[in-house]
Amino acid sequence: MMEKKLLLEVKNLVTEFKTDDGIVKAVNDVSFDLYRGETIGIVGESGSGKSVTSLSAMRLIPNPPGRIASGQIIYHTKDGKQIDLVKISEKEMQSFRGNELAMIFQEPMTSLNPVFTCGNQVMETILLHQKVTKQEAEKLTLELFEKVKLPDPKRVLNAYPHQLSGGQKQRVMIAMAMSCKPGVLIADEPTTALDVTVQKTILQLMNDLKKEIDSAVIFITHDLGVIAEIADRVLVMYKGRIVEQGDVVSIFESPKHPYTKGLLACRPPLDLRLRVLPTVTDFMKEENGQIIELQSSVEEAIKNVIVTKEDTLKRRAELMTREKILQLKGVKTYFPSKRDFFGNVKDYVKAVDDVTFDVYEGETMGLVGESGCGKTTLGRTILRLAPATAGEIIYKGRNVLDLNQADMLDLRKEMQIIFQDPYSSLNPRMTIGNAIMEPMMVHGIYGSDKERKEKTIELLEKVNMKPEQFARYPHEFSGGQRQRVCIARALALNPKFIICDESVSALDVSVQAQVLNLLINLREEFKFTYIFISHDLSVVKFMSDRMVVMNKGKVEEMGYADDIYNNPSNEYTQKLIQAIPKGSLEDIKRNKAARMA
Amino acid sequence: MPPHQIACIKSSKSPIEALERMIANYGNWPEIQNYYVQIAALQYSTYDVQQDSTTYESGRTLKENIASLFTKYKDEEIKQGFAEMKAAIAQSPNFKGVGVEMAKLETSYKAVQDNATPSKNYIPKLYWYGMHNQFHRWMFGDKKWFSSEEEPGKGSGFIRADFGFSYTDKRPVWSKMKDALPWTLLLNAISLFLAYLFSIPLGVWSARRKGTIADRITTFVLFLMNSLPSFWIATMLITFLTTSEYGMNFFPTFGLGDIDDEMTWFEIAMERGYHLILPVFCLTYGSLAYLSRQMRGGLLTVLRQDYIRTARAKGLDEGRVVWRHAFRNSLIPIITIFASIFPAAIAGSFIAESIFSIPGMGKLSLDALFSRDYPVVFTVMMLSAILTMVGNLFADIMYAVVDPRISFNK
Repeated sequence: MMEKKLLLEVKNLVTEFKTDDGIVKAVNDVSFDLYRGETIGIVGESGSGKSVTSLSAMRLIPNPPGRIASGQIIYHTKDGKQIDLVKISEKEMQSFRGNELAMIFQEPMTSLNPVFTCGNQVMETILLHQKVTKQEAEKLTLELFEKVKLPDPKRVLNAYPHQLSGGQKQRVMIAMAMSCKPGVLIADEPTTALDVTVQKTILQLMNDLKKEIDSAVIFITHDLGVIAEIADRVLVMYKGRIVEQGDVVSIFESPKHPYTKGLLACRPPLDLRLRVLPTVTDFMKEENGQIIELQSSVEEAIKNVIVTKEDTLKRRAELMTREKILQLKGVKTYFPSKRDFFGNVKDYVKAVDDVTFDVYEGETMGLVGESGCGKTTLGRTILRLAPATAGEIIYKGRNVLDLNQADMLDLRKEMQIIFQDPYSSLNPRMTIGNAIMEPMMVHGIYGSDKERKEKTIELLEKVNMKPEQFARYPHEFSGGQRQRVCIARALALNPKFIICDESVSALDVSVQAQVLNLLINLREEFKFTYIFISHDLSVVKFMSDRMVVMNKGKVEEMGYADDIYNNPSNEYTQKLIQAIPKGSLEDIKRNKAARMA
Repeated sequence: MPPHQIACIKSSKSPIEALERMIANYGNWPEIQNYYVQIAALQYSTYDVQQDSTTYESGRTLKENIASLFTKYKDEEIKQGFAEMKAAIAQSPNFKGVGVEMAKLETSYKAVQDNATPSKNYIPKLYWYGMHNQFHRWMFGDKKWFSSEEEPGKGSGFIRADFGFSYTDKRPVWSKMKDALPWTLLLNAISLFLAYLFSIPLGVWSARRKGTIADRITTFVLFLMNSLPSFWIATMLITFLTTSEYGMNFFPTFGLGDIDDEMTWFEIAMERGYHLILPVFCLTYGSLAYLSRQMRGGLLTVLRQDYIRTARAKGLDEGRVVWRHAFRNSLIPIITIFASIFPAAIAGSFIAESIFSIPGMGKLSLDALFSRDYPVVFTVMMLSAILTMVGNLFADIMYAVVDPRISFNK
């Protein structure tokens, strides 16, 4: 065991926000220590105060409305001084930011200034905190870019952020954060917006760099799986408080708090097939601010919902006897990428390139692949929201691509889509009740508005919302609630066939479980057929009977979800599966040992 | 008074009304035109009649009847007139020539009735004169292209830099503009410069203090400034600050001052500047308020962006966060506004220039409008249309300069 040097002490931190409903304590009496060379993970759902904790440490809480009300954040400098970051002046704090404490943000797409080159932005930090000339700073930046394994560092130096991919931008952010060899590196959901394969390399990179400059990392995420990959210790936050903290192995092995148990159980497991996912609400409920434990064992909760091998086989055999509801034959969707002077297309982006598969009635077909693989375009092409270049899409014996407007309108009633972003797919100026009623009015189903309203309320109840929320506006709801409204809207026309396009990707793991369970229950109740599109293989595997792995517009592999996961024959699929953070105990122990070595 | 004269007076209308009613009844303009020409010919033929005792009384009846035809439109009245005229012609052999014309008149009237097409009155008819129209002349001219031949009375048109001659004083339009343009340019250059000079720091200043008392007061004052009409402000300024009536005779009332040959350039500048203070103020305060509102709004949007948080997390001080990282991103709306202000800088301001009697482009075009001096109006309009396009082009280029994500290479 190596000697532990204290680096950062957070003592009784309270951060408040002034809202219309009075003062809200976003961080309430939080204390923890951070040692040099260590990675701690802060985990919790959105609104739990994990981001606010880290922003407090940087003193970047937007003021007004927020402020650090009380507490101490003591930073131990290399020469042994102890400085309370809450007390020092803004001017002094500026010399700490970027220099001693650096931060990486969730959205690499928007976290870099679009009007400056990447090199420029990294050099700015170096020039600010180190006494070097411009030429030296440029050299240091190039070295950093090489260290974060950016391809062609010289090009990146002069490239603007929009010319890089998401993963590359996050590498630039890491280079910027590491540039002054900070003591504490705070990473706020740095990989949430990235593909799993990219996530894996970024996590690896952060770990290597941390070791090299002997700093400590505070890693914030809602996903315990990621925590398992990188953290030594874990803090679990719930409603502004730390409800549990401890070594990563002990948290995974024997979680104490029911909320932690809920978080652990609600991740779609890769090695088992479950009927529904256990959720946080299975483990605890809140009464008058008191948390009451309902169930004590994670294993027990999972055991209750497990689907046996026989049942799986039975369902498979039964599905195969049904009608093929949808057949894709050589579907291609090309977008023009280059045009000559006269507007004639010179080159194409092959978003979907010769895809063929069938979907049986009542089945859930998963579509999985990294961003840009064409899975979303394929979903949109099936609904004719994107133009198909070639091929046939046969739905119940009719080629969707040949239908005229009137027939298409009929078809739209049967085929619905649930989009990724619950924030932008609802009109902010329309009450959720009207949003659900609108498709009914467009298609003229149900006789009167009164009937439609009754039906809407019924739908709201079906997706576990309250009837009195009918006249509320989308901004009053959380992401999970909004996604449920979107589901209710898709159900408004009594569809038979639903495409879920990354429908849970924007949600926290705990909320994701609730929405997935809802989708499964609806499938059983209404006998829906789903096409479930996601970049997250564990979610797709949990939802689907069969799945299709897509890469660069083409089908890489297709088959039963469990079979593909257990024996991936394709190299790309293997890579994808390997990159998923499993969160199994053996992995955690192995990772930890690797980090210590 | 003879009875037919009474009848004539009874139905007497103005000739124009009679003609309009004829057209309304029959709707065939060529025939009606022919009929009127024939009346005139008949009238003319009476002048050649040899005067004697037989023609004395009947000649008068005839002439009165012919003259009254111009005010008649009812069929029976015209027919009655014809009958009386024919009776008069029969009175004397001297009317032989008149009789010939009279017969022609009857034929032409019959043609009006026979070819009546009143429905044509309700069907619009389109005429296409091709290139033979005034706008085309102003635009392209009627001179031969690529020839040095003198063609008196013909112009070479706007696109060949010939703006024609003013209707009012026959001076070339270009020479009138040459006198007016420098004043407008001077006025607007100063005003635009001041507006941008003050509005940008003011916008940034109040954005950084969003929600504070200082920001609220600034917002209120700027909003007030933005909504006060400049003609009112100009009138108030002239009334109170330029006469001794209220004891504040600080500024000249109008014009640009007198310059004589003996003044040094400094004295000239002082004299001009003294006269320009009020007009420049009137031109500036509105755009200043509007621009700084836009700047504040744009900057506030940018300050909420993630990359601003990144900049702060680097340890940059607030000044550098705002001026280096946020400012450039918030320039797009300011550039857009410049594109729309730019044409006005040349076309001039109607209000300020006419109230302060500054002989600039605004006053020139306003005077031209009132006196229907179309060559001047046309030229000013065309120039501002072109400048609008130039302004937009400039804005498009500036967008790409400011924001590397905008590129024209696609």
